[in-house]
Amino acid sequence: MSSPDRLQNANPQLYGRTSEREVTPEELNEDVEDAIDAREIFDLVRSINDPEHPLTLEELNVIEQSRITVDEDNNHVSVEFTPTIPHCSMATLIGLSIRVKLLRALPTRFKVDVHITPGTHQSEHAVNKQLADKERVAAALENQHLLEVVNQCLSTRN
Amino acid sequence: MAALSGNVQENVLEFVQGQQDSALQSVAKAVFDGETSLLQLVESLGSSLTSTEVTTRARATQLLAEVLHRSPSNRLTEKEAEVLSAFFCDRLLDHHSVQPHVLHGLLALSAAPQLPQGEEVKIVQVIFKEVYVQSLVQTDRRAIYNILANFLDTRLEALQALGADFVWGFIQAMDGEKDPRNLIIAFSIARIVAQAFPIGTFTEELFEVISCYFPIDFTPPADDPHGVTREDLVLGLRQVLAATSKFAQFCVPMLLEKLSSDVTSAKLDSLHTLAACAEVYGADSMKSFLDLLLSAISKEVYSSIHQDVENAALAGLTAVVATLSHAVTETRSVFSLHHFLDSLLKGCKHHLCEPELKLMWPSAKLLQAAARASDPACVHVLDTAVPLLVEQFQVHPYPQHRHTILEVTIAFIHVAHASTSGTDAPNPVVPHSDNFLTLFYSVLEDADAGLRSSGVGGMAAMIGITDVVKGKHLDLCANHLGRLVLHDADPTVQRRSTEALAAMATAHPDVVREEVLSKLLQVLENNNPNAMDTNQSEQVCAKHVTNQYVLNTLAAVSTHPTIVRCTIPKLLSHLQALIESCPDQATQEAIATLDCVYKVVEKTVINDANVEYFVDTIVLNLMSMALSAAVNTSDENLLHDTSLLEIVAKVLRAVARSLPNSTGKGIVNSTVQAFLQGNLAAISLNTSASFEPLDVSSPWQQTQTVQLLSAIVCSVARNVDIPSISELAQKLLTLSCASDHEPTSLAAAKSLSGVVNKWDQGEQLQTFLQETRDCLEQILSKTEDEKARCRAVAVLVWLTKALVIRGHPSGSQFTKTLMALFEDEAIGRRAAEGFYVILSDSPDVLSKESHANIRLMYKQRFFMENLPALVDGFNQADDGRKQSFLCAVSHLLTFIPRQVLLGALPPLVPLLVQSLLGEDPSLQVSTLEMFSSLVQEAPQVISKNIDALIPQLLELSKNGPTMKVRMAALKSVGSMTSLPHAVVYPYRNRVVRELAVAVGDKKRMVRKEAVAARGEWFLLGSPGGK
Repeated sequence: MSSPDRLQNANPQLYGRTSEREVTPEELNEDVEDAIDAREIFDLVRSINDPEHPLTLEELNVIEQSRITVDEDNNHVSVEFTPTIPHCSMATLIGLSIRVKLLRALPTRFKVDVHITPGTHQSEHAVNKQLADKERVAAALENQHLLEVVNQCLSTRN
Repeated sequence: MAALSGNVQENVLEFVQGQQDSALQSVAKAVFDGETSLLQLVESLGSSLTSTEVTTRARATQLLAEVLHRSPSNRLTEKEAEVLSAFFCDRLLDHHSVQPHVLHGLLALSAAPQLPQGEEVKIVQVIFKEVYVQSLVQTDRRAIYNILANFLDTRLEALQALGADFVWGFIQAMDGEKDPRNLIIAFSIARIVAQAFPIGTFTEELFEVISCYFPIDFTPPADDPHGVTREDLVLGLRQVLAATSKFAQFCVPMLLEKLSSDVTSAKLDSLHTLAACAEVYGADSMKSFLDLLLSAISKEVYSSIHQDVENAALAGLTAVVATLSHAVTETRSVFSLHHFLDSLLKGCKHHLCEPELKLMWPSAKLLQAAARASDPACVHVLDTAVPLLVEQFQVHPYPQHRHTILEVTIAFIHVAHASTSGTDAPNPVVPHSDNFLTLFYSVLEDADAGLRSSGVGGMAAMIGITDVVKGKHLDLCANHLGRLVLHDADPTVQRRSTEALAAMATAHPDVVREEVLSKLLQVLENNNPNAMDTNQSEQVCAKHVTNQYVLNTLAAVSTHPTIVRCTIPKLLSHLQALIESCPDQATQEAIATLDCVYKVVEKTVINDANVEYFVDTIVLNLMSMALSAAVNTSDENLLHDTSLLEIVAKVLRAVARSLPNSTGKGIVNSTVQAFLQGNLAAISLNTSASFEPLDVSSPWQQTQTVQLLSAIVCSVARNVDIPSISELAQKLLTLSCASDHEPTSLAAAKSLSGVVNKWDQGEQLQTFLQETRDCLEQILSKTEDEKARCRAVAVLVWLTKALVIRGHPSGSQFTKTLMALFEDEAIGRRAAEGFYVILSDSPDVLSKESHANIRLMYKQRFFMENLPALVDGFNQADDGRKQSFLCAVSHLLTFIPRQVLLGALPPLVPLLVQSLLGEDPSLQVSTLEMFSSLVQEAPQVISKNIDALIPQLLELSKNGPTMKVRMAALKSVGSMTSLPHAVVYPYRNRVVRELAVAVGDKKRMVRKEAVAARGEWFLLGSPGGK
């Protein structure tokens, strides 16, 4: 699908990687309850692979910790992502990958909201609508080819 | 000529007429034994060989060929060989059912040295003329290839006379070959043909008939009996393609074409083949393809998806540039090399100007691959790239971009480092070294820590190349590094500077000593506890420069004997100063100082000159410091601290292990004198105080020094005798069983085990062991005192270890005594934990480094001897008492080599699953970890037990008592996804559903494992997954 000749953005800008989260004494204490925070969500999605490049969403700055909010009391997680270029046709696919990852990695009590950073994509509204529609997401994952691409984005590279 | 003996004649008839294959054996044996000659056999076969019946002729020929194969080659005479050769050549024209046997016979002849000159040409000619190779079955085709291969091997010159006819004949023979076994032979023939024959007009035909197999697409069937792998074929074919430069004009376009395919293996094979061919083809043959090659290779690197392809493309580029560089030295012009490099540089240049973008890195990699090829190439690339990078560095103000530029620059230096080792020409970096160093110096004061760290890395890379950084630059570098170590606030910069200094200290010890060492030692002196007050006023150093930090740096830098001789005396006097100061604040620092001494010793004790030096300084000084503290129990002393004493012992041990025998002997004697007789003068300590460390009634400050005794006595080479061994052992036994001071009793037990391990076999030892075991059993069964019983268990465990590792026959009795304690309520668990001590490698006594008497494979033997008893014990014990047995089994399993474990495993798995049901978290964790590793090593065993395992693991992942248990359970669950699909897939939905609980665990670290495991299970059987 992503033949090198048809890369939409062959030479994207690169960003550094955040270092691993340091383990605190509280996290080692059996009795303390660790809340799910923005950094934890960030750690879940930052290693998702970009569908075009052998790079992660973090390295392309598609995902930033500051654009993630968690409201544990109301069981709500919101993730904003920023496509590398405003006409990126992979935006929906990237959004879908993030959604699926969180679906698999978060407790079911959470409601997850994935959308494009306002003003960074030309069909922002349409993509957001697609991503917010539960049934369309479910239908998309019935598509074996699409599921394959999503799974590749979510596989860990060594 | 005598006729055949009746018996043989009968067998011949039996074989030919009666179609009895078994008759062959006896005929062959008759010929083998020399009872019958080959010609006699031919004669007797005469009528059959010329019979009008095809089957009879075929049988007769077959008999002849088989006998020929089975008779020793030296039995054949030249005459016989000639006759047989003529006969077989003639028979090739016969019926197609006779032909295979004829070929079989020719194959035997082709290996015979007696075959007269000239026959090989005849045979080859008739084969090429009369046999249509590809219509034969696989074995017959193989016979032909083998005949050709044999002749090419032994009679190459004769065949060369055939010239182009041979080439053409071979082309026709192998055209269309499909069997991989035959192809392996055909490829090796083709390689010789291409190299040794005038392929001239047939070059393209030969290339066609070979290249149609490229790229090899072959997957051997499972349980393939022939053992031909894809790799064999790929390499065979590659050798043919790289056989002659005549192939270049056909091969390079083909490689370019296959490179453009989407199949990864085709790309890889093309690139690897290009790398193999480039050198053979030479610059002239490659000339017309250079532009195409460059663009194809660049494309692969720029759009790399697979790391392998990228690496192969870079290796291909290196090979091409190396070939072009070769031409420079051989012929007149550097034109093509420079032209090629220039077009590469042209393509990469503008990417080097965009450090914020992705393609900066692949461009740099391309240039580095080209530079790696040869010195001229390296010089040329650096000439263009270095000024450009330096300029870009000035243009780009952002630290992150500058950082990228620096890292790329450093990578270039590393390439240059590899390029000229051992040649006379100066390193290609030399002309740029001022540029580089100025660049690196300029960032050392930068506000961005990443930049400073890169600057240090750059300096380290430059220093790493011999003779590039010289004179004042060397001093300057050392100065900068020294300053960064002491004044930079960023830990990474500190670490990298220290590493760079350490590397520098090995190559230029004098410079480091002059420029850096004094400053470090100065800090240590200023921070001296005696000079506490001045510390505040002298605000020379950054906050991080604690004494601990300086000590670590000193330890890292002390790599060279020159430096070691400066640091060690300072460290020792620093320690002495600490001891004399107020003890309450100084303990930590004294520990750090001793640790530093230990690190230096450990790193440099390999050097023989250092060992003697260490004995004179460290051992004597530390020993007398410690013992004079021990005899003076009225004043508090830093060295009364047990943990401090332990490090002293560690240092002494490190020296004692490396001592030569003569020195070792002296030091053991004086140590034993001091400890056994209280003769402190033996270690040059002048005091009248009484020293009786092995007496239970002595104060603990004295008895705990038994550690130092074992550090020396149990660490020297094995053939250094221990004086008064019997008395020493007896006293150690008493001390270890009776001392209330826990460190003392443990140290005494360890000392005892070290002594017993080295004690020569004999009556003395036997008596001691007998008495000791009785004594221990007495304590264990009769005493009520819990503490005394615990001490006895420890002594028993350590003695068992000493005996088991040397393979002493008493070892099994001691083990039995130990196992008898497992059901004891109070000390059973402690006894079972002893199995850990027995099998694990202890860092102090009884280790290989301490020259312990260790028998090969004692762990296996121990395992085999004790497993059955443990399993029995487990099955018979009451429910509450099973834990000790499980614990011991678990320790056994952890330490034995995997091969032994795999053999013994199947009956143990249910036992292990049961241990998961218990309530002992540490046991659960170790069992779970074992399951995780067994999934890789013994998938069949785990697969068989999966029905019992998965529910248990899921249960623990949800409700495990500690987070460690839950995490280990989740890891095991995740690892199971690598088991055969059919085994695990049925559990997919259940695992995915139940892990939903674990991803909501209250502990973050558990959630992390749960997410990883659940992700793997989600991918199971899903498209794009596994």
